[in-house]
Amino acid sequence: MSQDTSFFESSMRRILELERGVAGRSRWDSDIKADSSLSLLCILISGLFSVSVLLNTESSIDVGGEVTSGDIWIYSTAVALSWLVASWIILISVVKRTRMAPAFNGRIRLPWFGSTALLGILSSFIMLFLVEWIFDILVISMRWDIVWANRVSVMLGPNLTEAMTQDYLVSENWRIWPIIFLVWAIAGAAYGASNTSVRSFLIGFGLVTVVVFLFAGNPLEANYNIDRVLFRFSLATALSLACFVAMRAYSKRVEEYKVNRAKRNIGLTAVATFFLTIILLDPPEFVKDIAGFLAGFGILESQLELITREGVPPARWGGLLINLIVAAAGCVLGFAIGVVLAFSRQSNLPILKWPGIAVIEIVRSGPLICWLYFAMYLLPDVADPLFTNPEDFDNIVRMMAIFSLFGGCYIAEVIRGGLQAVDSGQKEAALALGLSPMQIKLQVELPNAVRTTLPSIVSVFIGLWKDTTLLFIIEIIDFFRIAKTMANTDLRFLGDFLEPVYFTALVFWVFAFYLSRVSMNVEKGLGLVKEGGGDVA
Amino acid sequence: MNIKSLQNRANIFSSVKVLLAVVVLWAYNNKMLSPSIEAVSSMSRSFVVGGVQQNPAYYDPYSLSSAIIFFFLIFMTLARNEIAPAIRSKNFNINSISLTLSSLIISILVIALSIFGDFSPAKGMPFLLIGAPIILASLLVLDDSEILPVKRLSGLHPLVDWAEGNPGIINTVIIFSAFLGMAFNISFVPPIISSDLSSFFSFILIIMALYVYYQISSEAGNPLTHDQRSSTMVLIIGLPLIIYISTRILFLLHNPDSVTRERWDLSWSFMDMKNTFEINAWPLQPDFPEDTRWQFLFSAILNSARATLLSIVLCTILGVIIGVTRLSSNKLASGLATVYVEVFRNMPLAVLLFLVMLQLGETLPLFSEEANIAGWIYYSNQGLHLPRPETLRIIIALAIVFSLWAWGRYRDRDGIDDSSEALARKSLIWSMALVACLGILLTGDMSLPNYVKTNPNIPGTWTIEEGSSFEVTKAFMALIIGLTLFTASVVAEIVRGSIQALPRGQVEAAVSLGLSPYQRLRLVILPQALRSMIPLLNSQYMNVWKNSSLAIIVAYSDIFYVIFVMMNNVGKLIPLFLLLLVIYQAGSLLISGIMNFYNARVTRVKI
Amino acid sequence: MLAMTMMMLMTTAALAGCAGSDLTDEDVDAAREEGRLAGIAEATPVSTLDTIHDRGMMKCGVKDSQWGMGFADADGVRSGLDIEYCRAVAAAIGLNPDTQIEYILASAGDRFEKLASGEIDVLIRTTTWTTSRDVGLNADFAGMNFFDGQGILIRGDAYPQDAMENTAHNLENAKVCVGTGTTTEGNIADWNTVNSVGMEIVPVADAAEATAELVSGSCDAFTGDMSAMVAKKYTLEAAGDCSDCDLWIAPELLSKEPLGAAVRDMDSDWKDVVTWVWFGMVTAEEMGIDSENYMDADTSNPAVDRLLNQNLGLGTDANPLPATWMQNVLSTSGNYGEAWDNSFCDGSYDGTSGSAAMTGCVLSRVGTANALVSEGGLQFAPPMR
Repeated sequence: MSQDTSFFESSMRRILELERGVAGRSRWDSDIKADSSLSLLCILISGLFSVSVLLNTESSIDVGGEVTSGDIWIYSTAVALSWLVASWIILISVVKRTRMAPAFNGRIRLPWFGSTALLGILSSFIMLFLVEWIFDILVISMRWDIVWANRVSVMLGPNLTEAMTQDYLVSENWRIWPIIFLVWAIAGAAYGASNTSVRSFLIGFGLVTVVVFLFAGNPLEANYNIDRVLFRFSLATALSLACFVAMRAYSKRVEEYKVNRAKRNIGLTAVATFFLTIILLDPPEFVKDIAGFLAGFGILESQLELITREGVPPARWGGLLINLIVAAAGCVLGFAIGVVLAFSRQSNLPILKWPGIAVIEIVRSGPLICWLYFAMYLLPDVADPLFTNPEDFDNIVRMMAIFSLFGGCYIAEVIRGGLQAVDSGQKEAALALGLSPMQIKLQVELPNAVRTTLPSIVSVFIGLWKDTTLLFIIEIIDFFRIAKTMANTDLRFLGDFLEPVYFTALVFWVFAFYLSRVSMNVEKGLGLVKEGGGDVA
Repeated sequence: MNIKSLQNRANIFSSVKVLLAVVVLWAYNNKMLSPSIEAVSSMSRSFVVGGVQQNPAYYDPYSLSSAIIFFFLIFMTLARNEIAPAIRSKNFNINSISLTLSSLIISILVIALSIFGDFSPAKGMPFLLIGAPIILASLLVLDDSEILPVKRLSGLHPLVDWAEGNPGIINTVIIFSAFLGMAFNISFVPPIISSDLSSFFSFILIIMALYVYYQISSEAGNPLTHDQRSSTMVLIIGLPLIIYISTRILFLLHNPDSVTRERWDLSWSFMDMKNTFEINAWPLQPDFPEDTRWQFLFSAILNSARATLLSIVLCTILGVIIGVTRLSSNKLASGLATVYVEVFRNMPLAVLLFLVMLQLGETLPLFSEEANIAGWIYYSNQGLHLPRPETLRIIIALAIVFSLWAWGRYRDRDGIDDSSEALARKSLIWSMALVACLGILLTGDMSLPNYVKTNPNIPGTWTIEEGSSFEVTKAFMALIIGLTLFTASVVAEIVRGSIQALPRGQVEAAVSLGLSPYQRLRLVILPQALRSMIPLLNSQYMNVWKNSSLAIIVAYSDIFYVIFVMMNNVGKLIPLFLLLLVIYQAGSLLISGIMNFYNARVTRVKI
Repeated sequence: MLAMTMMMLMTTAALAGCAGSDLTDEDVDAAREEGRLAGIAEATPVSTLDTIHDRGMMKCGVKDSQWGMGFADADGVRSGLDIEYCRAVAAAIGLNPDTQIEYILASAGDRFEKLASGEIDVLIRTTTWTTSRDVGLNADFAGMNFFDGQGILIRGDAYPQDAMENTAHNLENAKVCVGTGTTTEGNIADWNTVNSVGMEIVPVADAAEATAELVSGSCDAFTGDMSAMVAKKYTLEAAGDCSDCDLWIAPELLSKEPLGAAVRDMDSDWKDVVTWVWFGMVTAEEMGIDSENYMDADTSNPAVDRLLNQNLGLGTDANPLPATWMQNVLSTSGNYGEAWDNSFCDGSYDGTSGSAAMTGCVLSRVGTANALVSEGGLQFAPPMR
């Protein structure tokens, strides 16, 4: 009997805590019994109200067209739940007559939000509106078939899709799979070597795997072989888990310096993957010759023979592939350019300083669109004689170059701030030890600067990733452009303009969000978190 | 020269890294120099048939040589860095700028020679004009080296002693005369050199680079010498790039291909011609087809400016509200604010703008449905129609607000009175004034949108009467909404970070001193929070200005849109591109200046 | 040390010079002549045909959103009259039309820039032949392959067809979407002024955006080439979208829009190839030769023999067209009628029976300028001899 009461009491206490969180202190704060009975009353009333809303909504929407009864049930449940929360909050505030609570932990008292309860009521209405709108988009008013039908096209571009679906061309998708395996493996290894807990890794990784399988495995409107794709993705998942387990075991057993070296090697492999992607997609001549030579010995003959075939030139790339490659180039090459520019701007030699300042200020003065136009039409004029075959200076190569330059200038500014903050004692000690100026720069100043400014550098990377959406303006067929014109060219789903754009927003958001989470974790890991402040540079 | 030093030298050069660097440098030099040599050849070939110059790429020797050599001289001066210290130092010694002077003299000599000496376009001119920068660079290299033969002859003659004391001048004279000798007799120079000039020059540059590398790595020297040698090294490595850029741009300006020439034509006279497309601008609507391009551009600048200003104001307000809400104790409210910030911070702006525009088009009702709010505001997916007050009354309302503010400043000239009675009185006066202004605006000759059904059978002809309303286009709404939502999330983070960074002790001390909430805000919290906020807000506002160039996605006539269409109508890319850069830079500087001024005011008090 | 090396080099050079010269006046003149030729060569461009063969790929500037002229569907498969023309040109010069064509999207805003800068070899993208384009934009037009006019597609729920008396003159206060950078923009503005209609012109970036605006109701009408309007109406109605839009097309043709392929100025060999591929296709239909029967055609007829077995001097010295170039064209795209049928009709045309025999046509040739001259249209080919 006492156990029941204590369970009842503890749960009531938790409910009261929750109520105080959203609506403030109640008049009957001192009398727990009365308080809890009022809470129960409120919960009951709001529960009944939400059930009525559920039934009402469910009956008011007709099954028809693309809307199934399952969709209606999902929508109604979501609406009912949000009404539950909203009505609960309103009832609490009214019934318990919550008084003015000091807002913001007593730091500021702003006259217009005099009461937590008022704020609570306002936010519950906003939440109501948002939930209704989101679920309406998701299940009722929009047809998502156009997105399912164009999955491959949006990932790889129209040329590679044509190669996959039409008989007169050979499918080139085999070039993508080794990269996918590598990326999965590197991700598993990186998490294994870090100190993320196993549980959080499994939760995150599991979520990603589920999403990938759902996305790739939905048989609706698929124009590719689902079973083979799912099989390969499960192989990749298994590979990733194996790498995670192996790295985790390794890092538990060996000294820290070896773990750090392993982390550095993983980082280098990641950079190498970027170059490997480009080589696999469009192998240069000497790679093809080497592959042909090796294949003559009979080792891995069929795989090497594949490499000797004609590559996919950058003009035929498309979709998410372009966004990823251009963003990766901007980040990797941009970091290198940024370091060079930062050191130039900081040096004492005028021959380095003034050109550095000129380049950084000019590039930063214009919006990125402007520089994309410059790279597309004016840069070829200046740079064409440098290429033995001017055709090599492709659209994509130009975009990679200008993204690197643009990213490099922003990163240079960030690193310059970090360089200025390096303790001069470090530099003096290095000088005393006899290190050359170049060694001092690379091995003392740069690591310190990068460590301090890593969150800002990652936010520049996120900015570069988001800016790859601007490629559509110069008629490069990237993810966003395909999504925009999908509704105009896919004759089966003509006129569904909004769905692909929502999908685009979701995909870009997911990548950017993941990067910002990584940056926060890195920040915490490096011990850079200040007293509650967030870095917003 | 003993064995030990030879061994030292060999050790330095035997490392693989140096070998690799030499190979890369060779390839890079050749790649940059061969197109430059071809470009110089084509630019100096003149052939006049019937009194008309047939080679469009031709430059007269004076312009060609002076352009290339003076462009290089700029970098030479930077590398040598003699002028700035000489100006700064107290005793001015002609020797301290001797190198700069000598390079100037050599340049003028070379230019004069190029005009008066008849150099052949195929070999002579490139040799002269590309060899001259190499000679100038070699002056830097040889500046602190010795001439060995002269040393042996010391004591023979006072002239020789003087020469030994000034090795730089002797080096200069010898090198330059040898160079001139080769230039004048270029056809007699052995074919190894004259047939492949770029390899010859690359070879010379590599030797110079190796020599400077040896100098740098063998003796540490004092920092000044070390800096000089590093500068020289940078100049030698950068020389092919500098030559390439200058010759390439000169070639582009006089390109045989007429379209490229159009593109690089640096004249803005086409902007005085009539514009060929129409735009929709307020407050200065240009008159198509009469107005010139400059006027269209100016209207577009006003368009961009008003979009940017409105976005900045709105995003600051929204950002402050959300940032403060995020710190609230109400879990639901702070949760919603966190969701907002996380969603919009990671959303690409281009996709957001497009999404907003499409969603507005779908969600807002059709114009023929006559959707309105009490007959005052008509909204549809073709735009928003607001009532238009009389201009005079707007001016009166603004004047009232301004005079009230000035009077308040005057009353508080001896110190702000922030007792609760004064605050109550102030808020009363301000609210009365706002009500009065509203009343003034809404009475009198305010015109409401007049929905006219021109032809009752044809819904498309129904319209709002011209001039009866203030129209806000859908494109403007989409741009403002997108920019505001996006930037507000970043501003919210900035505000939250600044407020959270305040030490707790400050607020507790303010409370214990008995300050009222308003006083706490004004005297303790805001000054400290603003100090960290303003620089960050400065960069965000500049981002808003630059992001307004994305208005092309929503077809709003801003600067970039107008220049983009002009670029496609007239092939003059470089002039328009330069205009674009200048305008955006000017805007950024303006915003930066205002924010810096405000920053200076806020940080006047030392904390 | 450096000084020593330099000194040694200079001495060698000087000594070599002193060794006496064996240069004669002829050598000097030969050098001058070489220089002169080099100067002339700078002014004469290389033919695009040679560039294409060196590269092994033909770059065709196309559209991907207009059904019937230049369209790419969800799987990336391209169709349309312009695409057929492009494939015919590639086949004529000896390339494989399935694998050796690179389709580059050229928007209305940057198509001429792409052509002028060399990014595309030929622009076959519903481009109208006008004086200013011919003169000012470094472009040359290779004949007219489609005779179009400008039309207006109107939303019937805003401007009902019967209430408007089936004419576009009553489009008062209409918001009309038009793509920027096109001749349509100028035409509609002129027509609006001349006829005092009172339209409001709304510029949009491209056709996709214009469709979105039309379907959502932000625009009441959309103007462009009549072929594009017909295609837009057909595709919207087939997809069942905008069912309450009640779309109709005004019968007025606001302008002449002769569409043609464009190449760069001063590129005559390439321009001749592009022009005569089209004329060959028209000639084939005039002679009754199509993709099925060209193998068995009667080559004793000298005109047929010239068409199918001679290259008539087309091409450059380095890359002349193969003698059977017209056979390649016919096997790839067929004759003019078959290309039309595959683009606008149901693909069942037999190639020789005339325009009236085409079935399932969204846009019919009968009685329009696009019919053959023998049927009263304007598609005319000069004699191929």
